[in-house]
Amino acid sequence: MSDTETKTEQTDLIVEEPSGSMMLNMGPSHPAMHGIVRIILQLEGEVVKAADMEIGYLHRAFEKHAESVTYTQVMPWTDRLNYVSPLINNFGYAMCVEKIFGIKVTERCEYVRVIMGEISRIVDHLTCIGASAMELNAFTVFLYMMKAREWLYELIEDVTGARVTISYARIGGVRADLTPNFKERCLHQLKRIRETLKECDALLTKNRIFMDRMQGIGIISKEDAISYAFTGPMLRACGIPYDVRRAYPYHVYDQLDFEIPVGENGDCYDRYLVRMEEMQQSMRIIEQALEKIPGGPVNVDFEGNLIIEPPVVVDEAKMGKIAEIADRPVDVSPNLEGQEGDSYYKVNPDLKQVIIPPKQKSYTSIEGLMNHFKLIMYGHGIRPPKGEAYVCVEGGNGELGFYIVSDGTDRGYRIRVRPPCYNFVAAFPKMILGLSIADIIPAFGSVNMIGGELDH
Amino acid sequence: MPTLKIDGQEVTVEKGRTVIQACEQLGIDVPRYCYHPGLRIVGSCRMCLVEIEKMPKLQVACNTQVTDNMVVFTQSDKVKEARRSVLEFLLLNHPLDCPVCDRAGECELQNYYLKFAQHDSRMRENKIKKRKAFPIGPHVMLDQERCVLCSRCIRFCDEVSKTGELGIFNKGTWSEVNIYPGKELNNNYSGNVVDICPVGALLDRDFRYQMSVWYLKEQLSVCPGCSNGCNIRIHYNLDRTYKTEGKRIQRLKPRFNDHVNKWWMCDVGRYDYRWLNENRLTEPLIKDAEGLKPAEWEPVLTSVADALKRTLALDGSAAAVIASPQMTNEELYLLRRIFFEYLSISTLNFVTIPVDPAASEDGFLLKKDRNPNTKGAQLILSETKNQLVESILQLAGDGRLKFLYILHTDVASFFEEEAVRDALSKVETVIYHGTNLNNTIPSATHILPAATYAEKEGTFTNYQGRVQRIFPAVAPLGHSRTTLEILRDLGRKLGTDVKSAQASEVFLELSSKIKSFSGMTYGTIGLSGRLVNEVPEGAVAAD
Repeated sequence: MSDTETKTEQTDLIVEEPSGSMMLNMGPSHPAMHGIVRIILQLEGEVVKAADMEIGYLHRAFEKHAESVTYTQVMPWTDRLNYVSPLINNFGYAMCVEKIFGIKVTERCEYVRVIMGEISRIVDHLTCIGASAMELNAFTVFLYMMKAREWLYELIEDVTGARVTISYARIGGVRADLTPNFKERCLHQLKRIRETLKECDALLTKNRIFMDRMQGIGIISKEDAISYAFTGPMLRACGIPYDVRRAYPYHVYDQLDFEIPVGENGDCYDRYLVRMEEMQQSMRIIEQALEKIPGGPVNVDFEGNLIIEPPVVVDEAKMGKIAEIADRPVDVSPNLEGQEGDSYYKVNPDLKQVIIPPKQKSYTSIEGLMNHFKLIMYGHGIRPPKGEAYVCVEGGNGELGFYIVSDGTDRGYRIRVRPPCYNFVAAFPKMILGLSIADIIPAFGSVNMIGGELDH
Repeated sequence: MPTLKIDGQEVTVEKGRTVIQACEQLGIDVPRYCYHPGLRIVGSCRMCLVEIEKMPKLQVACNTQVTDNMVVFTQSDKVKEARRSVLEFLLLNHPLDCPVCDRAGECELQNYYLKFAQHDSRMRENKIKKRKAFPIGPHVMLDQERCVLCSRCIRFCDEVSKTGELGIFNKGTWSEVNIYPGKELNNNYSGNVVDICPVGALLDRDFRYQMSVWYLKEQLSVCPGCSNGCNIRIHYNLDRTYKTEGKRIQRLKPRFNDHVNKWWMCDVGRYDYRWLNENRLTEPLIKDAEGLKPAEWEPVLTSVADALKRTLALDGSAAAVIASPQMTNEELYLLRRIFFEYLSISTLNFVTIPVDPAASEDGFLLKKDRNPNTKGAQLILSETKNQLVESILQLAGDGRLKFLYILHTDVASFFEEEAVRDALSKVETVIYHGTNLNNTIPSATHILPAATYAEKEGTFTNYQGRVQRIFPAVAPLGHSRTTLEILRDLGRKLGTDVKSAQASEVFLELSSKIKSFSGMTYGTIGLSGRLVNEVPEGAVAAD
């Protein structure tokens, strides 16, 4: 740098000596800097001699915000951590609060979480590979994968009511049960995704250009990966079969049969292969889970009764005429699908200190109404006992951890998130050392940095 | 002193205490509806049932006296089951009213349901209807369906206000609280039945449908309505302006102080908060040829200081100050320091608000003197050469005053309005320093908007000589400032060395200078107040 500065003193124009080094800013606003991040490069010619990462451009103070609101209100913000796989973030956070409470969710809920989580993982990997491929000019693959992602988004939308900001998990369960024809639709979409992946595989895996751009690029050694606390596909591409779903099984992963693909070289190409295979494994998991998913307990028997219209329910209950509606199935409202007692109790345990009652209960009994109010009213809310818990789940990028300290009030004393890609970004300068500028693009694509979770 | 064991913890309590009091001493939460420490014990709600060793049945904690070596369980399965059953009975006919009930958020049914019961409804019959939401007095609404028949309100009217308007009528499941025929709940303490009602049966007509209670924030204070100085909590809200339309202070609630007001407060004080929100002076005004015009603080204060300096240069006796027992001890002290000690203005006095002698005192909480700090003003301004306010006005009327500084006193309303206006019109500079619009304002040449007691820190000295702290709940409205800040700035312009407008620092100086307050700090006053050192004759000193 010093010789550059002396040069500029002599002349107004910044003239670089061909053999001298140059400082280059990549980002923060750059099409290939997924999200917003800045790479400061020291170049010699086109070769990276040194690099530094500057993060924080998407910093929204998630942790401090989360400590300032009630436990339930944190849920929408976890959507926005890794916004490509928000369902996994949701479940991770919910599991952590449940651990402090000592809550066990229903078995059906565990299966629902596994299914939705794996769909989210496929979405995550599709986005990562698709975007990486596009940056290497394989636009067709990008479009194919976005199309496939759309099918999955439709499934997610069916169940959760939204595409990205889903806020589907609840502390102690999920918002609502799977839709009635979910299994058929899901299997159908998985079949189509398999076809798409086959096409993409044919377009990329043995593609000479793709292989040249990916192989031997962005290598990180096993030792470095471990010392940087890598997790997820980045670590597995180095040949270490660490997967939270296997190492610390949560939900029903220990009852499901799946394999953990590993790479050898720890380069971009291996990461690509690992992600491609993980999608196949995720689909296996979903299919098994759909087979095994239990019915779950239904608290009230509704047989032989007519369903009552929502306005009637509310009016009768207000007038105290609960005799007619106490045991009958109640159509709550078209906007509150999944909130009817029978489907609600399939996926949520009957834990009154945590789970709001199904809508038909809060509309027809004072007990349910008060329960609902107590959990919703500002300053009341759910209150875990004093304690702390760390829970990790296998996110799209690796180990996604939540650490919560509870002081017994309605909001967390300390909420910490361990985002997987934070460590990758820390190691990124090492990974691109000695590469050319053009190689930064696939290397950074394979890191799959997500600004939302990076800048927690 | 019997020693007993509650949930494995040993505790020694005074003889004659009940189990519920012993539990409170240990911090064990025993649910209760009918028990209230300020009322007679009836043991009717059965919510506080506890298990006592060697007693075959569960006992009510509120009405069981402790004995030596008693062993009490408040968390055993039997107790939990009993509480659940009691609450299930109480909720059988409870209407589905939470969404329209003002009590939601501070309702003991809601709280105890989640804490102790958590049962599902087994009621398979229609709920019994009773009369809903009808006024039983100028301040209270009754909803019989929501009532759990704890009889706290009835006992309050019998024992505390001694008016006995309420009773329980009918039998069994048809029992209901109601007002005796032809009566009205219009005693001066009717608002307290709303406070002690554990459910949404008795509601405050003034606060009804104003705001959900969970949006309220709380600050501790002292009621400035009379010289009794009842301890209160100010409930306010600042972030729902689209609903409140500028009404920042939502309601006042009593706060327990054993020496002053116990659990209660009177309706006169309770509903006297509208002036905190309405008709406020929000910016300094200065009079020119066309009348009062808004101005910045700086020129107004400079103008006031210049007028005073001009007056004093010509004639030292042509300036006068009228202080008020509405002001805090700190403000009175700063006033004394600037105008009496530094400028040697001898015509410094305060005026007590005269009230209608017929409807003044009721022998319980409400006092004839409707000022919170008369005792403090007497102690702090005792050395000033007191002239009666009437004589100050006489001086003004004679044209012998050129500068008159009126603080927090609506002189035009207390004396004959026309005469006061005539007198004030003969004074060159009349400064009105206060919080609200009133009849004195048109006669003033300078208006200094000041903060109310809910917007500032300080202390009041009540009729017993008990110094009690107030705390700021909300910020001064508009451009108004606290009186301490105004006096500090004015004092600096006049050349004094007033350092701080911080109430705590002013109070430290005050306690070092005024003998009655010596040794006091905000720390030693605490939340329940402290008596001044020498209680003058005539004041009733509570322990």
